[in-house]
Amino acid sequence: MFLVVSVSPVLPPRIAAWLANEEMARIYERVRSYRIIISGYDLTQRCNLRCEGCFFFEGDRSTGYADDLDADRWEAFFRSEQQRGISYPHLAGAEPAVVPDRLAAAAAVFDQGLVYTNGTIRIDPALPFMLHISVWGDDATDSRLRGGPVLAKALRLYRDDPRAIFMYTISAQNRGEIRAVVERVAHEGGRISFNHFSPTRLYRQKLAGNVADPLTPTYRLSSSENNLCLDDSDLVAIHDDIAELMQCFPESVIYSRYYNDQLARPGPFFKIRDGVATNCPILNRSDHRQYRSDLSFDDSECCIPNVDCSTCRHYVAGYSRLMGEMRDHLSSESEFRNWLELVDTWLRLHIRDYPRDGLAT
Amino acid sequence: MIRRELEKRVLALVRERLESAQESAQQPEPGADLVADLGMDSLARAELWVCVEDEFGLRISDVDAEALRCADDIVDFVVKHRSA
Repeated sequence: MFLVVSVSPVLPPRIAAWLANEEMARIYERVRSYRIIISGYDLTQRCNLRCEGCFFFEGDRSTGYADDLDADRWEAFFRSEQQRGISYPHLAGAEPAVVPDRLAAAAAVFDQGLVYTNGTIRIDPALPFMLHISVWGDDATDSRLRGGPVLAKALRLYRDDPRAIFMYTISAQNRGEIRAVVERVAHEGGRISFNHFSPTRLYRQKLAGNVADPLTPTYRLSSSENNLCLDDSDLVAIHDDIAELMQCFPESVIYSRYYNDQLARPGPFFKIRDGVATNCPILNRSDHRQYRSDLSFDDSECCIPNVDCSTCRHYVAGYSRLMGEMRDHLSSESEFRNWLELVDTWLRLHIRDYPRDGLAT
Repeated sequence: MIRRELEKRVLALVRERLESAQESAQQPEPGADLVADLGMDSLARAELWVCVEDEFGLRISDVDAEALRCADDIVDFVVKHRSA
């Protein structure tokens, strides 16, 4: 049955009120022009690295699934996902670069998306997806935590690649190296952003037991006294370091000023009940699923498998929470500007050739 | 407001958001999934929740919003919370 209704394509007054400002109106129209509907996919169980505290391997919710589907099966699956409304796949691993045929299957269906990679294996330059290349510090820290100079290789493989953004996971083990790494990436002409190390539940349990295990590749160095976890004083120092680097390297550092401010607040970033975040959109959103390598999924799991919600400040979940709270940012122009700056920055991290002119804050 | 009128108004709001976000909007059906059938991303849905809140004088929590998957769900929500 068709209903005949007269409609006017206008914005609701509570939003339009803040768009009298020409710059905000332009940016708002820009961010709403991208129709991004995300789901996550672990393309494989395999990885060529074993990093200390790895959220994929340091837990029981992501591993142990079949990993033998061929590329045709993956392509058919991605087509069904597209039918489900998904427009932007998050392609993760363990390490998706070890299964190039599955990446190609995704590219046969989707013309945009994001690959989370460690950057040590060249991903076909023809693939349209953005690449977030994990960074864990300078060469010495890389070698200690990841088994080799990962950043050096990634910089070599992805020099001048417009898809690449280096994603520095800041931990207690590398927070003193942030400036040096940013300078190095900037010197190579690369772009860099930041993630806060967010331990898995298992990693925290092991720390509580204070039992180092040299035979466990992802928990061979940590102890209750010396580990990767950040505390509240770290958060403030990191905030100040990032704010300074955003000023010094505006072309290279892609990070939201508002997000930086929010993450520095002490205590849990999410509301927690029974150990689980109640306001994490990744967990709550019905259209988002996190698929494992056998194409099963679990609605109770987010895209950061095994993560401890009570200490989670992972950038995927963090940005998602704040972006989903648009209606909490409508009470003033400055609040709405904050939210808009955050969303605009997130899109710079996710869209190829996204315009460089950000919102002044 | 009888349910049929309510449904008509909710569908008009959904269509308004679709027309605002897309060059050519589909005529939504009451049971059409906002994401899978109508392609509404999270921002388009956030705008829709603002419209519904203002139209019917309600507050939709983020948790409630995630359960509203089609216009029919929104109508049910409005009926329940307007009379509450």
